[in-house]
Amino acid sequence: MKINATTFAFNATFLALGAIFCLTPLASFAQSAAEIMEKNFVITKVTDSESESTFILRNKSGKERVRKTFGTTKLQKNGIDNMRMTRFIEPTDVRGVVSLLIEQSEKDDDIWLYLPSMKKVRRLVSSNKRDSFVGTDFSYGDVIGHKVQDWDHTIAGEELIDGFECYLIESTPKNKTTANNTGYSKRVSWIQKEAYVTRKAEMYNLSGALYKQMSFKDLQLIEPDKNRWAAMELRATNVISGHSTIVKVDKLKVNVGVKDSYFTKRYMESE
Amino acid sequence: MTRELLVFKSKRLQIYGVAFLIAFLFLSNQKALSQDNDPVMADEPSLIPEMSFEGEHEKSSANWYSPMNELGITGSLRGGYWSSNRLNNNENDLITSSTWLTLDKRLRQGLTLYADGYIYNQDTLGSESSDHRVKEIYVHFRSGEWDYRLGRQIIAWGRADRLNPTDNLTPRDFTLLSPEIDEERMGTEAVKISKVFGMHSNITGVWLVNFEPNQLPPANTPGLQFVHNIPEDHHQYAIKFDQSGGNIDWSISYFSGFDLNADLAITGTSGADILVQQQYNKVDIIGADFATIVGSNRYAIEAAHTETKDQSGLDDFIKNSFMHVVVGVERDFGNNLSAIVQGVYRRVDDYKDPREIVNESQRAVASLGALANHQLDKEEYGISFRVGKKWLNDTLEADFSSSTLLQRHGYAVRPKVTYSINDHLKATTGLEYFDGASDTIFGLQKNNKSAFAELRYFF
Repeated sequence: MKINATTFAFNATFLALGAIFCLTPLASFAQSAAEIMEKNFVITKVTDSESESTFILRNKSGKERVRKTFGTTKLQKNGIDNMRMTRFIEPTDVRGVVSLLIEQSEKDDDIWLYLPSMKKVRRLVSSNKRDSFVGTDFSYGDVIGHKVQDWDHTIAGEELIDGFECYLIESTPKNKTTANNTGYSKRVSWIQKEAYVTRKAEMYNLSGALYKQMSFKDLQLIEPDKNRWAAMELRATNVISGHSTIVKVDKLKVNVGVKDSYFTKRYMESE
Repeated sequence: MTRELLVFKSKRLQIYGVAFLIAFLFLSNQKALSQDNDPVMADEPSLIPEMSFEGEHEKSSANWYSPMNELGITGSLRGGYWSSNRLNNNENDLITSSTWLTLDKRLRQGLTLYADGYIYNQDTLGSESSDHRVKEIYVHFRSGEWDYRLGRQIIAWGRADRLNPTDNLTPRDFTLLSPEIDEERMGTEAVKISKVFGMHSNITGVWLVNFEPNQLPPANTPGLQFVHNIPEDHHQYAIKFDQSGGNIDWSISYFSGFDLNADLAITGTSGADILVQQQYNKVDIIGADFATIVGSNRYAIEAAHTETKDQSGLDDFIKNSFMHVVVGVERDFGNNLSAIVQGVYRRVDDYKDPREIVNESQRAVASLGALANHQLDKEEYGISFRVGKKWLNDTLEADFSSSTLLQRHGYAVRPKVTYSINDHLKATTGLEYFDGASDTIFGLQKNNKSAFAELRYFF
């Protein structure tokens, strides 16, 4: 069932989410908002990675749940689409759950899920990007990234975030399908000038109300020769429910020759 | 100890012996078979992270795996209440308790030891004594494009939702009082060998060394006494080609073995009662499944044709050959809400109505067998429906499933709600309700309808 679809790819995905952007200096007046977002989107992708991450899920009253994961990513041959595998290590009731996300820029992504109790890998319906991952405050769309061409972008101003000058980009869905699939009527992104890194983001629900706030901390250059960056701490808060999620990347290795065999049904089914 | 049991245990020991011998050999020769010296093994990914993480981006040297995780042991303590058991005997208000343990230990790169079992008592405050079950215990070895799994294992096939015509290799215990239907699965001693082709395809061969049937709620029919007859020749074989990826996922499979569900045959009388033997006859099953996703819908078709021992359809006490098809669509509505609707079709070859048998005893037994095996009608149509929803960041989950027959009055509904109190505690409550005419599979289970609640502590 898709109800299980919330258990998806994370750490690596969150790396992509929080990953930073091209350092090539460009004069702000020379760029459109779409060009900035393209740079923001593309340079989040590392060649490959292995990581361990901790997810802290905190409700309004401060009660926490913790998830530990092991994940791998690998860029596909087209240099754009990622493969992302995430295996849950803790806690016990989710141990052995494995998700596999195969991005496909030309069509819907492939999402696969292995639940140890079912002893089967299932392909999940992936057109809907609004469902949350493993109960986190990141949606599926947040995790894989919102395709730039599906949104209209405008530069709404400039602001200082954490001491860095940022473009303030407002993005609205180009059509109803994108709005319904993501659950967002507007996204606002604070993109660091020159680095094209997302420092902060806000999402508005379909009613137009502020829905989520995200921040990306401890940004590091993780693949210097390709100018790929990642946030080592990501935070998302649902301002309506008061629930928040903190993702901490505990360990990360990049460009280590991750094997294709991680991204297979065979690997997922291995206990 | 009966001969049958001795043979059974002897074969089980044989396969465990082989499995652990392989594990021992690999452990004792770990250095010789190290990853560095074995380019094939070097291609295999780690199942549990053992990376050095000595790069400049290492954020924490703290090892967050718990001691139990280091040993590869996890488990849960469970206590529950069931208003009825699943034994059709009108026993009510049962307190259940159990301890479940799982060992998932990576012995070395490419070699894993896995075991899963539980100790349980389904009437803790009553007269029932505790029992135990090893669901699975096997070693899994990977080498290049080959996978080898030896030992007691669950083999689950089929892409439809829960109703799987191609899933005929390992049994289920339908009498187990568990809120999770998938926990009914049990393993069987087997050797499974798979070869992968590229990223998406594989072929699997299975040799089932042992046979264990489904455990069904007994039909407590007055005047009938049931005895099991487990076949002595346990050997069974299966092969499957599976393609997972691209626009369509599909598989074709063949199984030659024993029917997990019993045929009923009269063997004599005991006083006024008829002695009915539950026989597990040979079947050959060819099956296939397909699944694809279009937009927000997932479509799946799974079908199998079963050739039984009674190929001519003349034996009233062996089920006839039959076709079983499940067609389903799953829709994702967003916001963690999804639903699945499936249509079920069965057609019996060379059908003969068992209710027209003249002899009263034979008619009673043949009709009961046909009813239990969905062969009372030449064609049977059914519908199943399942909807699931999660709230509060997945801490609260609801699942409602139901199924019914179209020609006869009969249905089952199963609502269930689960709440994760924290990472260690989970509470589940729900209902299993059956209703229908006495000539339906649902009507037979009327006495098993139950409300249940269970608390689990995970460690």
